[in-house]
Amino acid sequence: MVFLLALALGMIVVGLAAQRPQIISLAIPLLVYIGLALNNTPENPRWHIRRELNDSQVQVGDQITLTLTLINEGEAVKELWIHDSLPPELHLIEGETTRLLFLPPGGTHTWEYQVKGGRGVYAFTPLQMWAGETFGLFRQVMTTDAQTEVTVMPAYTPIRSLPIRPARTIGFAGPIPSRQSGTGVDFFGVRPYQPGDPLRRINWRATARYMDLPISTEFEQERLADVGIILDMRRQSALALRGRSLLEYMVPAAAAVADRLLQDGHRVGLMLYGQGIDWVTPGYGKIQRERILLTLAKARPTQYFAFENLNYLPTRLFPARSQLIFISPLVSEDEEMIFLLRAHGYTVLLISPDPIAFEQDGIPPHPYLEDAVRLAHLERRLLLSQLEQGGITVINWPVQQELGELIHSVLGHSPPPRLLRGARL
Amino acid sequence: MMKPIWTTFYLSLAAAVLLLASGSLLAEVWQLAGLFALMGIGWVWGKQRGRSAAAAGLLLFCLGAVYGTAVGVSVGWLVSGVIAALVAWDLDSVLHRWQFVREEDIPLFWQAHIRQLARLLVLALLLASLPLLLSLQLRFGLILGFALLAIIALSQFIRWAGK
Repeated sequence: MVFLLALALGMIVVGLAAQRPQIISLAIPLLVYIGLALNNTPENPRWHIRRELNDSQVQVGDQITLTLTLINEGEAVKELWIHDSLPPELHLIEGETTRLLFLPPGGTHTWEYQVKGGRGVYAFTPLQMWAGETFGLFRQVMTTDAQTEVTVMPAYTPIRSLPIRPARTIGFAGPIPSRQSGTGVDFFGVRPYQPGDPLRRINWRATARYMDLPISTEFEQERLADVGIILDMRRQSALALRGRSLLEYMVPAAAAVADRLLQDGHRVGLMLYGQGIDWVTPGYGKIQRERILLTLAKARPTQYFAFENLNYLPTRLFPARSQLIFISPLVSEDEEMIFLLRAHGYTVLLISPDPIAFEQDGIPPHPYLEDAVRLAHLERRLLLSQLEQGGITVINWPVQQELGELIHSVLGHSPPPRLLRGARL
Repeated sequence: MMKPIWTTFYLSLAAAVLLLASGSLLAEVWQLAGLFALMGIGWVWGKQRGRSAAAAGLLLFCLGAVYGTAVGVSVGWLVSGVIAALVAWDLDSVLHRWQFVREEDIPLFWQAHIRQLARLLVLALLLASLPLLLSLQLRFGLILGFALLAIIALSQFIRWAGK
């Protein structure tokens, strides 16, 4: 508009200065053009706009369908331009995010488009809109408050079983043998019959051996446990190579582990170590699963000097003698803190994605590569064997392998043996 | 669906070149006729390479027309040529703007646009002939007052348009 107006005025000034009406008449079409555009400019456009998501929580890989609905509540607008700027992490799969529309008064327009994105919480900013006239010279920029947020949860393959055996259980029936007699299915011991014992509990073989008094069978109580999952979010642990990050294996692993444990009925908490200490207080059930998944969706690797090593890992945060599951590729010097956790009475299960196998795939061939990989493997094997000797259950996880299968092959159905109090590590 | 718009764009650009060049040829200003032809080719060349040469094209056509008045080209040819160039400039912008219009909506947009262009043609031709027919004797003070009024009106207009 400014260009056209400047051109017309320039011609008029030249025409006046040169006293040539012909030049002024050349400027007239431009002024008529501006005048017609001005006449058609919408004075008070009013719109109602709605942006809806098919689901506010989806998993990685799922398509997010956005539906935009516009209702013209004012006069007719010849050109209505709408642009929905997507968060940069989301990619358009189908449809378009920009449209130019003509809607009569009371008219409605609805359109859909599909996007996809990685793990995270994404906020859609207000839509950019302007209403203009046919020539496109005059526009009225409009604001909308159709703000929306979508959470892309980590996708994971469920784990069939995760046998754990912490030193302490909590007082509700669950899947973990508690080393106490009570209701259960596994044989625990025998004791003299006490009035009130059901007849089917009488161990007739033992009674036949000790004829003077009847003997009852005792079963081992199976209970629930407190489990704390610690996910290592330190920058040095989140190796990234050619667009792939080790974190994108660790986060789904944490989600799968939490899901399995919550399904088994345990009380599960989650701590992200690295971005300060992000902590989901222990809880049960589906709501806790949602909380954990939401925290994992937001998890990003961060670099804080204070959290470069595990020295600030809060060892007293989790209930005493509970089960800890530490998911980390490990860096040297981490073992001290893990031993300290063990020394505080926690039962520690380490799930360690193998960073060497992960990196090896993406490194171009080099004469010394094979030797370097061998040395790195030796160093890692030494670190892991030290941890195993210190009573830590270690699952060395090459990320190409499915975690559930690996857990099954390492831990089997039966939980790892539990060290009795006072036993040597 | 955009084909009729492209056709109209090329036709209006060709009309602008033909009208301006014909006027120049009739006034025996060969060089100006050649320049108008070159400007038209340049505009099409820029458009086909995805660069909008519309603003530069319209500016050059207008400057050429202003020069044409000085060298005796008939103003009727020049005004008609400028109107055709203005239509080409408008359609150049339409071709860019309407890439976000749904296929099925294009005829609706096109009809509304054609109606507006028709109004432009009629009004522009009528009003452009006025300065040629009217002749007023004004005192210098009055002209100064009008100029002041025009400046204030213009600034108010730009402020309003900016809002």
